Amino acid sequence: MNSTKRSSLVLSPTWRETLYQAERPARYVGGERNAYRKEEAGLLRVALAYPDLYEIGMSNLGLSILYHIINAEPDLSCERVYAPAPDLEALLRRNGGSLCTLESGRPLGELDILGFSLQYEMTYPQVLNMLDLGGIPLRTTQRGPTDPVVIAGGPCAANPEPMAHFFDAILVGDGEEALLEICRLVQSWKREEGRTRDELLLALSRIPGLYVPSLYCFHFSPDGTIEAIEPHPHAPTGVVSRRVRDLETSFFPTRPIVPTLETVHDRAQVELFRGCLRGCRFCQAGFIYRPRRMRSAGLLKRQAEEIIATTGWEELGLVSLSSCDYPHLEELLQSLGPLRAEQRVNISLPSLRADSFSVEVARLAQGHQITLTFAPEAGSDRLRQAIGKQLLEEEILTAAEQAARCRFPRIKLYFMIGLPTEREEDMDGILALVEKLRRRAKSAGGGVKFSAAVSAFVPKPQTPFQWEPMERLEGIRAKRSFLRDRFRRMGVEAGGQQEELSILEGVLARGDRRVGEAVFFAWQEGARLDGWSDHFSFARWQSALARSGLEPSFYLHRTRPQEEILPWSLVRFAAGPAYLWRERERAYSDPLPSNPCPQTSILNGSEGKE
Amino acid sequence: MTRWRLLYRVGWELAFASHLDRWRAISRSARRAALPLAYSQGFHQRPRLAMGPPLPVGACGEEELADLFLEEGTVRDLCGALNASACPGLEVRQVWPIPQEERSLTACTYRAGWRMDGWWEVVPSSQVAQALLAAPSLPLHRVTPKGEKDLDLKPYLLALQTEMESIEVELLVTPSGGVRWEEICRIFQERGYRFHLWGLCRTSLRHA
Repeated sequence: MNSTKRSSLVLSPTWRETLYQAERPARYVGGERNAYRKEEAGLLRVALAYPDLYEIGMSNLGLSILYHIINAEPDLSCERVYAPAPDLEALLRRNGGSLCTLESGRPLGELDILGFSLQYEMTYPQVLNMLDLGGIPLRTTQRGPTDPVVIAGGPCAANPEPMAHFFDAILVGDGEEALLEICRLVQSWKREEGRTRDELLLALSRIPGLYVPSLYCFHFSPDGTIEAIEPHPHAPTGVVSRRVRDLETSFFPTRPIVPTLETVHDRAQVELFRGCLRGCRFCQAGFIYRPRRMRSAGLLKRQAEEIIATTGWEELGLVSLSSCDYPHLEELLQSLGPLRAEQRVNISLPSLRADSFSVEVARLAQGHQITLTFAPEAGSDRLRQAIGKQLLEEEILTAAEQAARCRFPRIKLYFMIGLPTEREEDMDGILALVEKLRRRAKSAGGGVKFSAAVSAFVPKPQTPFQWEPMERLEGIRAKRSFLRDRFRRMGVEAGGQQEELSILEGVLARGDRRVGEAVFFAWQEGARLDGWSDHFSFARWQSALARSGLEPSFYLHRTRPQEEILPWSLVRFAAGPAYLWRERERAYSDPLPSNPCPQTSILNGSEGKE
Repeated sequence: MTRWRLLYRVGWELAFASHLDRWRAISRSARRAALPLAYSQGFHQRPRLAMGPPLPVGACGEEELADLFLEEGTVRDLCGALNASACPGLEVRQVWPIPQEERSLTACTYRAGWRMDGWWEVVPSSQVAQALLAAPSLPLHRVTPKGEKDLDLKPYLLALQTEMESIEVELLVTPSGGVRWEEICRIFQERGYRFHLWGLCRTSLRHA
């Protein structure tokens, strides 16, 4: 542990008795290598919360960065808390126990700041569940001076409104610098007696990138759209996302926590770059993390060596939104040679393009025993061009051919249905593409097995498709069923996200603050780990939406006019609404690309700032 | 290649991990210590580390055993090197070289001592434990995800003692397994003495 004492974990008999009845109790124990444990009095107590299980949350790089940034400050303490599995929740509720942090076993209600990472809309009910189990009033209006300040951040901050009633503040953009500013502000507020929570919220709203929802009053028209947004007289009129300007000099943890139990990404990670060169119009991450900011190969090598030395991990992930777009990738892989040879560290490249360069890189980095994952997204060059996916069919076919030659055993393909401008023939296009891929792979002599994941396109805020309607449930079902059936006949394993889950994701992604009531009712009716298909109940959400008087199709199936005030209008990223609208227009008008991989200023985000 | 036997202690930090997770934790500790580890062959090469009889989830261990294989002959203060890089909950108490051809730990371990801490709904007298030890058989129906079977606990039960807040038991260990702590609790519960566990520790492990 990062404290002076080793093996100082104290688990009370009562808590241990609970653990003996829980499934996978190691999730709730803490005390891992490189975890902090600060016991001094007078520290500002912060906890980072992840509204999903330990195995998922511990793989999140963003939380790891923030955890170590806060703990590097001597007068701040940062702890962690993850969602309890249903069995532990039942035990806690039965025994009257509280959800506590891993580091000190402190109930969440005794913290000064509780910060949630919102990676996925379907985790919203779990946020409420964790607040409730931690003894914190759910709504910001119900919290008093002794309650923690409840904040959030992550990609879902692109539309903070569905959770507006539950968070005191929501951080938009990169958290590295802003989180310390928040801590310092709360620290000084706590030292000054007599200051109210309202004063704190107003002060928080002055931190750049921090959105305080309770300071904005939304007025709705009879047709359900937003008529006007009225800010508090002293609140800013909008929030511009925070951005780390220089990744080379920004903090990166080289002593990350090594989890005790296996997590989904149980490996060391270095971040090659933030942002993306591509301009995929459906991809929220591609727009909200602009511009692309890189680390040098030399720095990454040093970080990788230090992380492996301090953790003992056997695998190193070179992470980014599109790792093969890192311009110094070959140099970096070469410099990591000794780490691979002497310390048997496997290199993984999680986000690969579907082209022959990526296949070659994967072969060099990881060998040929892995499953290659390609995302053609659509079945035709026309539709790929419309959605901004700069990838031609011939490139995908060449990649499959090379994968077969390199004897990769499996290729997993990702497709979306219900994309803007999609036509009926695009369904046949998906089938035709998969068939061509199989033939090309076979002719190259490899026994590659293909699988295909087909999911519905969910329009996301802060993207050029934020105004687009989402495909109706019946349409998604029919298309997925058609494709699944054909895939089965072709001997291709078919998967993808459940239709109803996509529909709910669609409602939550572009919802306004009224949707928060549906989240509340869904939680009341038992929604917990709803991102997991085995825990998800569509009926429960239908009932919750009905109880809150909301019509899902209002959020899902309307084409929003350009002038409509969107729920996330107050939040601005590098790519502003005028730029996004122009990009949307281009989706309907672009000819086929002449250069499938342009490296223009638009893609690196220098255009699009307004 | 050399083979080293590790005698180590498992604390609460690792007590609730699975056997595989503990293997991973020890192997990563050894990797951090930058030892000349011997690796398995194949695509995913792993340090050659052979664990003793699996410690159940929730159990601490006082005298746990594992065999670690190194490429080179001698490492100065192997025990110190391992402890310097050990994860919380792992304390290497002793390390000594053993012949390569030595039998595996699971094959030569024959007896384990356990201490179970908790509270009784009704505290049994010492005669209850004596009666259990004297019983000709202790039939038990075991249900696992793999299936069900009837077994007799008696041959496994070598010593048994109860206190106000604990059970101490010596159990026979065989290469195919042994008795589980839940089953010890069950034989008491079936006789009207319900025990609520809050601590479990394998206090000793004897091998031939």
